[in-house]
Amino acid sequence: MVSTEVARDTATEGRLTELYVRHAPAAQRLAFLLTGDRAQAEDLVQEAFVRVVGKFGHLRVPDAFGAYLRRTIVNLHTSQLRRKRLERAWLERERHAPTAVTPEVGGREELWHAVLALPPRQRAAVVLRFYEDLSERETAEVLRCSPAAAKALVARAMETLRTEIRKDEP
Amino acid sequence: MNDLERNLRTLLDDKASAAGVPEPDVRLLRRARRRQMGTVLAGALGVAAMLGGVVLVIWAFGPSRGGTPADPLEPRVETTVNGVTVSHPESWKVVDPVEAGITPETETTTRLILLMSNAEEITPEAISCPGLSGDAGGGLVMTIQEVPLALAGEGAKPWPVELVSLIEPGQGEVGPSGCLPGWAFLRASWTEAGRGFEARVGFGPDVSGPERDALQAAFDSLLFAPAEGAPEAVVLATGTAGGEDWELIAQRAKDGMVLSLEWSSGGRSGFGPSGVPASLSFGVQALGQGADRELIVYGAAGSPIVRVEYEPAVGGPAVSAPVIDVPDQIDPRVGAFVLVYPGPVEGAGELRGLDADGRVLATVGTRPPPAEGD
Repeated sequence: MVSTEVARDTATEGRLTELYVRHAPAAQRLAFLLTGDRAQAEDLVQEAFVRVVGKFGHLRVPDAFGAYLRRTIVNLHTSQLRRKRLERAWLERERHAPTAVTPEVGGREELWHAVLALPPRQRAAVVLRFYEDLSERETAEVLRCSPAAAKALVARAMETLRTEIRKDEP
Repeated sequence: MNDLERNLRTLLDDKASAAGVPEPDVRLLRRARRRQMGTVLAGALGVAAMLGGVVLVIWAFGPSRGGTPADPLEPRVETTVNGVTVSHPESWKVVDPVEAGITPETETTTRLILLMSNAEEITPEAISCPGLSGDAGGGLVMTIQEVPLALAGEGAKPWPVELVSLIEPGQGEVGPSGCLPGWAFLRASWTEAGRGFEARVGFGPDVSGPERDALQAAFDSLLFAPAEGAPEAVVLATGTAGGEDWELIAQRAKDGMVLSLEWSSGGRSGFGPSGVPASLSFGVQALGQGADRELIVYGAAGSPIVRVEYEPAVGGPAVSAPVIDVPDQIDPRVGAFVLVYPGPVEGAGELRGLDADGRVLATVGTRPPPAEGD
C-alpha cells in the first residue's frame, strides 16, 4: 500500500517508491532466506535499500539496481554480528515456541534449521546458488571472493547440511 | 543435481514464498532521500570547506564585532581527518593524532586516527593528563581508533551504535595518578564502509549538560569514507575462555596470513605466515587461572580441510570446529579455525584436519600451552 502522503510527495520520492515496489519483494525473499525471520528480513531490506539509494546517483546502469541491492543485502547480512545475534535469539525462540508458518513435514524442518545454522557466508552462498540460481562466478562477485572460494563455501555448506540431515535420520 | 540439492531448491522456493511482501514506508523513503542528499552534500563538502575557510579568514581578520558573547557550542563546523568526518562546535579542536604529536606513527593494526578535545591547546600532556594543568574538570576528549575489520563479535555491529560506559560506576572517579579526576568514560565499536572503528569518549565532572549533548551530537554525526583498499586485518572470531574475552585476528602479510589471538587482559599470541596451504598450522594458549583455565587451539588450514578436531593425549573427548572462511584479500589459500577446550589444559594433544567427506588429511601433535603466569 502506498500512503497518500508519499503519493503527494515529490517526483523523487515517487521514483523511490517505484524502485522500492519493484525490487523489495525479491529482496525480501532473499533476505528472509538469509535471516529466517520476516522482521529481520524487512530491516535488512530497508537498510540495504537506503544504502543503495544513497549511492544511486553514481550508478552507471540504473537497471543494475536489483543486483546492487542483492549484493548489499548479502554483504550487510554476512558482515554484521548483530544479525547473527538476532538470529540466534530467533532460533532459541523457535526451539521453544510453535512456528507461525506452515508446519513442515519429515526432514524439511531439519533441513531448514540446518540452513539457518550455517555460517552466514556459507548460507549466503547456498541461497545465491540454489535460490537465486547464480553461477559460481556471479555468486563469487556478490560475496566478493574468488569463484574457487565461492565453490568451496557451497561445498562446505552442503557437507554440513548432509551431516546434519544424517544426524537427524532415525 | 542430487537429492539434497533438489530438496534444498524446493525448500528455499517454498520458504521464500512465505517471506511476505514489504510495504513502502514513508519514513524509509524519506531516509533514503536524505541519504541521497547526503551523498550529494558530501560531494559539495570540499567546496563548502573551501568557502568556509574564506569566511573564517574574513571573520578572523575583519572588523571587530560587538554584541553579546557567542555561544561556545555554536556555530558547528565539520572536520575530516583520516577519512572520518565529525560535526562539532567550532571552539573544539579536531586533529590527526599523529600530526599533532599525540601518538607516534606505528605499524600496529590498531591506530588512533582522530582526536577531538575542548582543550585550548592540543598537546600530549593536555590530552593524556589534563589533571596536571589543574583544570581537568571541564575537559572532554573523544578519540577514534581504526581497528581490524570485525567479521564477528562486538565490533561487527554496523554504524550507528550507542556509546556505553567504559568504566563501572565508582571505578573511574579518580584516575590512578590524578590525571583524569572524576572523569566518566564511554566507548563504542562498530564497522562501517569496510572499516573497523572504536571510539573512546571521556569528560570531566564540570562539563555542562549542553556540552555533553554537543559531545553526543558530535559522535552521532560521524561519517566514514570507504576503506581505500583491502583490509589489512580482520577479526575472524570472538569468544570467551577462562573468563577472558578473546579475538582471533587474521592479518595480511607479505608471505601469507598471520594469525593472532588477543585476549581482554592484554595478552597476545600468534604465528605466521601460514605456510603450506595443504597443512595445518596452529597455536595453543590457555586462558584463565587455576581450575577455570581453558585451552584455545587456533590456526590455519589448507582449503581441502573443512573441519578440525582436537583430542587431548590424556583424558577428555575430542572436540571439533569448522574451518572459518578467511577473506581472499588476507589469504586466499587458507581458512582458519579456533576451538576452546575446557580441560585438561596442561598436556599435549592431537589436532586433525578433515575434508568434506570426513577423511583425515592432516594430523599433528600439539604441545602443552604456556604455563600459568607465563
